[in-house]
Formats: sequence, structure tokens, C-alpha cells
Amino acid sequence: MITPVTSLTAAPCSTSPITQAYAAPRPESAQSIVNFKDVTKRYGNFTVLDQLNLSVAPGEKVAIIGPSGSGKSTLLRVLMTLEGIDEGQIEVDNQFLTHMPNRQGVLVPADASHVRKVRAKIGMVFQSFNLFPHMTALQNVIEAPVQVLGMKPAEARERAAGLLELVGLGNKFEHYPSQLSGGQQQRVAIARALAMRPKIMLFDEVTSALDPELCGEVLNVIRKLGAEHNLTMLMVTHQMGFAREFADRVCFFYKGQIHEQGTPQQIFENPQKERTCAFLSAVQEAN
Amino acid sequence: MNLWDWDYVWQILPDLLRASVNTLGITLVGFMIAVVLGLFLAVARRSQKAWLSWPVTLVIEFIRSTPLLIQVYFLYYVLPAYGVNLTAMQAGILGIGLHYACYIAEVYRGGLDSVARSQWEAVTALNFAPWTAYRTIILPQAIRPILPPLGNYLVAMLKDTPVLSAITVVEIMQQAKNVGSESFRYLEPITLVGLFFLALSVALAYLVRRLEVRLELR
Repeated sequence: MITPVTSLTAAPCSTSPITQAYAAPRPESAQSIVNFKDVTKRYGNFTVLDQLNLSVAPGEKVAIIGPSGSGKSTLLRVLMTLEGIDEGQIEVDNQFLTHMPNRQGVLVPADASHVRKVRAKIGMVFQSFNLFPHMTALQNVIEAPVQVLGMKPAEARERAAGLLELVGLGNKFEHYPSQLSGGQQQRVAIARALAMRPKIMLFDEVTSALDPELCGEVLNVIRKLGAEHNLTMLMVTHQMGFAREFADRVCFFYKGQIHEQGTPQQIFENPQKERTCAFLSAVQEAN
Repeated sequence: MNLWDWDYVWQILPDLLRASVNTLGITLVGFMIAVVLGLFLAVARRSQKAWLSWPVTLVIEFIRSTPLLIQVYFLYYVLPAYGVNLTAMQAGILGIGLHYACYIAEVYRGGLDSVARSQWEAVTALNFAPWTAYRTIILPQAIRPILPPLGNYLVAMLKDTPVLSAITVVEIMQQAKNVGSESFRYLEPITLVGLFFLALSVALAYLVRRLEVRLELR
């Protein structure tokens, strides 16, 4: 599992510089809503994100694929500030997330209140749902707007009801998570995240814990969100079909870096690098 | 000499009952201190900030590793030399409250640890402030598994209140010694004190059990 830094440039199966070609028209950081600059994250000796650069435009839907341990979930986790980073900077909506300039204009690690202010723009949905088990579906969606945004309970309740309708759970308000199926729980989790009005939504393998027949109802909700709202979305997924159909851009992660990226068409039909080809054919075989 | 003198029992009972009110009061107020302070200690000990968690850990371990008797002696007999004058009752309640706060902090810690890490990730993603997260999400989930040990400590605390007689607090044990020393007859007062603690311990254990069942049903 130890990754020596020297081995990170794996041999490509084609020399075509598709990554660079695609990188050129990326928006400058001023126009991007999420911007990773040389971000490195280590667990002990294991470098899980290796000087990663990634820029996401407002409203863009980015699918993140790659083998396990390649850093794709970590990308979302450091963006959500569930984990810190060791080097580099992350910008969200033109503000530094993990850093802030002090009075001399020098970047210093951000304090808790700064992190909370910037983090408010991001919502996240987890693989294991992480609903609050002691609250009904409705309470799960109401709690954060009331406690964190200071919304009036009546207003929060009305919005929560609307969001649960949106995810197709208009008849499950008073159910506890234990009384809901996995797909229903995940849809409550999506409604709960949306209730905080994020600009950016992170989906971390949101269908991986679900039985195949329940994936569809969750993916449909995400499709609907993509179509009706101008949300920026980053999703780590193993559902290649969904990534292909839904994403504006697909990033293939390998050893803590974006090994190859492009439109779904480019990545799935004409991958340029050996690792990408190998991964895609392995996934295809598994299905 | 009679083995058991009922007349004497009726004679001393009012005094003992009056003192038993003190015992109950010390237990209740002390337990409230312990439950509230224990929570703060537990949260502080779990803090990521070393300057907070380290001293708190030290204090908890120090208090848990030394006898209650010495701690109340310290509060009542040593502190006045440094200008802190507490009545026996104040020193006693504070001492027993502090002592049990440290035990109860460890109970809270176990309960808080039992709440899945993923719940913390959820509250972080929803941008909860730490205290709000504790209050609305984490503690309500932590409370169920800690009720039985919390009840045990309530009973243990009740049974520890006689220690305070050493600093002249007139709780039921001190009173029993007083009435015994007046008549040189200890059988009845000490037996009555024993029965008092027995009855109360059983009653408390029963109440805690009832509460557990009610919380489980929800």
C-alpha cells in the first residue's frame, strides 16, 4: 500500500496528451467553484492524494471513477473537511476552505468559524446514509436548517415536506430510518443535504450499499436534481452507465492523481492511457 | 438488656428521619453536579485540543485514584488556609459531586464513543456547531446505553454519603452515631440506618430500571 512518489507516473498506453488538451479550456480559478491546488493528503507513509489539481465549473457534474485506494473518496472527504490536507490549498466559491489570509495577507490554517462559513456551501451524501436514527424522516430534514441556519421550525417543516416530496417520499414523513429501505433512507439523506441549500453536492458511492433494484430510485433522484437545479455535483461512483449518461466530465483516479479525464465519451469510448483501459475492462468484466 | 427496644426506636426515629433529609439532599444535589460536570469533563477529554484534553484527563484520573474521604478533608480542612471557607455541607456536596463527576465522565465517554463516527461525519457535512451537534444528535443517541451505569453510580453515591460524617456533616450516619453515643445503645440506630440505605437503594434501582424500559420502548 506504500506509494513511493517516484512511481506515480505510470506508463500511458498512448502518448496523446489528452489530459493537457482537456485541461486547457478549463475555467480559471476565478470562474471555478471548486479548485484543488497541489493538494496532498497522506495517511502515515501512504500518499492518498498526490499534488492533486482539479478545477470544477459552477453547475458542472463531475464523475470520479478509479480503483479502490486511488483517493477518490478522500477527494470528497477533504472537500467536506471531514479530513484535513497536508499540503496545497482548496478553494470553494473563490474562498479558501482550509486556509485564510491573516492580517499580513499570508495564508494560515483556517479557524473553525472560517471553515464553517465556507463549508456551508457544500452538502454531502454518504455511502452508508448516516441518517439520525432517533429522528423521523421529516425531523432528519428539519433539524439542520433549524439548528444551524436558525430557520423557523414551521418554515423548515414546510421546506422539508417539499424536499421529501421531491425525492418521492411524501408518504414517509413520520417513518424512522429503521422503518425505511436503503433506497428510501438514501433519498431522505439527499433531501436532508439539500435542505441546507448547498451550491455543491458531493455523492460518495451513494448506491454502493444498496441492492441493485434500489439503485435506480436513488439515481433517478440525482438525475432529477441535475435537470432541475443548477447544482455543482461531484460523485464518486462505480455505476459506469450512470457516469456516462449523467456526467459532464469523468475523472479517472489512479494513485492519488487524476490519471486521465475527459468527457464521458472520451473516457469510455476512447481511453488514452493503459491504466484507464485496464480499469474499464475490469469493471466491464465484473458486470 | 433487651435485644431490640421498640420504645427506643420510636424515640430516635424523628431525629434520624430529619437527618435522612440531608442524606437525600446531598445525594440529589451531588448527583446533579456530577451529571452536568461529568458531561463537560467527558467532552473536554474527547477534545482534539491537547491543552484542554490533557489537564482534564489528569484531573479525572487523579480524583478517581484517590479516596473520597481525603478529597472532602481537603475541601473542608485545607482550603480555609487559602481563604476558601466552605460550610461542611457545601464542602461535602461539592466533594462528592466532583468525585462522582469523574466517574460519570468516563460513563459519558463510553456512551459518546458508542455513537458511530459516521454520525459525526453527518453533522459535520450539515455544518452543525460542535455543541449543537452534541445536544441534538450525539447525546440523545448516547443516553440509552449509559443509563444503567448512571443508575449504578447514583446508588453508589447514596451509599457514599456517610463518608461526609467525617467532616461533621449531619447526615443520617452522623446522626445515628450522635444518638447512639447519648444512650450508649447503637444496635437500633445503626440498624435503622442500614435499613434506610437498603430501602432507598432498592427503590432507586427499580426507578432506573423503569426508565430504561421506557426509553427502550420509544
